[in-house]
Amino acid sequence: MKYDNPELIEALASEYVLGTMVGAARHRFEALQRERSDIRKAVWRWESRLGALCAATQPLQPPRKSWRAIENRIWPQAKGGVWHSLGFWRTWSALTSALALAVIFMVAPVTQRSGPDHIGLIGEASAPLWLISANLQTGEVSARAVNAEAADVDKVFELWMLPVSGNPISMGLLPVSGESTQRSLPAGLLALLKQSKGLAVSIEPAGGSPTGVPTGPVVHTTNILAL
Amino acid sequence: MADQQKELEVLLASTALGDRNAFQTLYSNTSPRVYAVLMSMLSDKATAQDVLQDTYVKVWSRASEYHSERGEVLSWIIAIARYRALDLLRAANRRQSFEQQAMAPQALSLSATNDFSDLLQECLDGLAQLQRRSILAAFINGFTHEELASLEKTPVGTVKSRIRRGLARLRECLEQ
Repeated sequence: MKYDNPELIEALASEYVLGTMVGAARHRFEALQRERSDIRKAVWRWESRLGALCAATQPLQPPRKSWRAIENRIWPQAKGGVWHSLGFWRTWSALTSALALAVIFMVAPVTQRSGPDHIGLIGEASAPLWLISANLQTGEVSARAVNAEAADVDKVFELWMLPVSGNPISMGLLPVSGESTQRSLPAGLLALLKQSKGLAVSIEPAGGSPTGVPTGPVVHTTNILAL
Repeated sequence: MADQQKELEVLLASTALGDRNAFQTLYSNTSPRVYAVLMSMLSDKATAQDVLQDTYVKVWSRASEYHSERGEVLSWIIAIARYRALDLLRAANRRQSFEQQAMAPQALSLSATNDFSDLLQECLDGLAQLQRRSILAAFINGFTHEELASLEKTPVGTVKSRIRRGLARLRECLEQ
């Protein structure tokens, strides 16, 4: 398809923004947006035109907990418990791959009430970059930067779930420099995670993938292991 | 409308500079609109709230990327939210329960109550009823061509051309 016809670009941009462009066509058009400023601008114009259609719905106040959750994700606060204790993480960092399984079995009894029941280790076992822990009953997922440092300037690490079929699904940006993040997965995502093929990490522009799928190199993959 | 846009632009600019209070005010002023769209698309409170969180985390981290060419601040935020919701809908194949969704009849009669600007209302009124209904249902509910065709018991090709013609007409009218 030739993309030098302004009317065609307008038509494609309108279908992209409306959401009726799906699958491979949508991915191709997202790639074109990264390459062509005229296509990006056509999309922006349609976002503006169609965005006004949101007035077709009556405003709906989100629950207070939504704002608190946003605050917690942007400015994570230190919380108590074994997963946040300095001693635990010092111990973890010092362990080698040979001891990793032993650690998992030591931790499991302590956290059996509401702690993680699955774990994903990203990086070398002897020097993990991140530890992803998840409770697949409650949907609580936390990511802890063990040895991970910031990517290049204006770049971030983004975590992806690899569903059995379809595109990777973002699980948010990964923390760096000893920080941790926590989130609660909705039921739909949780069901996908339970059946997923694993996790992947890609390098993305600041703020995360602009398209909803990995746009930068995938630098790590890992499996999710049951504790 | 212009005053509201100006106020949101100031709040977003302050957010880009790391002003948490401005970000919270921006959230308070825009989230009811964003949440309403997400609930219409996702039909599930937990998922809509999760996408709402994702949206505003992105707004916080990408506030500096906004510029006037992106259109109104609210439209920019709505776009972030809708793309995320569309990804989830398509990935999870939400429409597995589509056939029994009680929301479908409502979805196709959305334009009964709204708060459109005079120009947008005029341009929507200028569309054929089916064009207006299909465009609104795709935008507000995230329906695909196939889903709309199933709802309207119309061939997919008819729905595609109806929407394409409707969007072109909408653009012509809004740009006059």
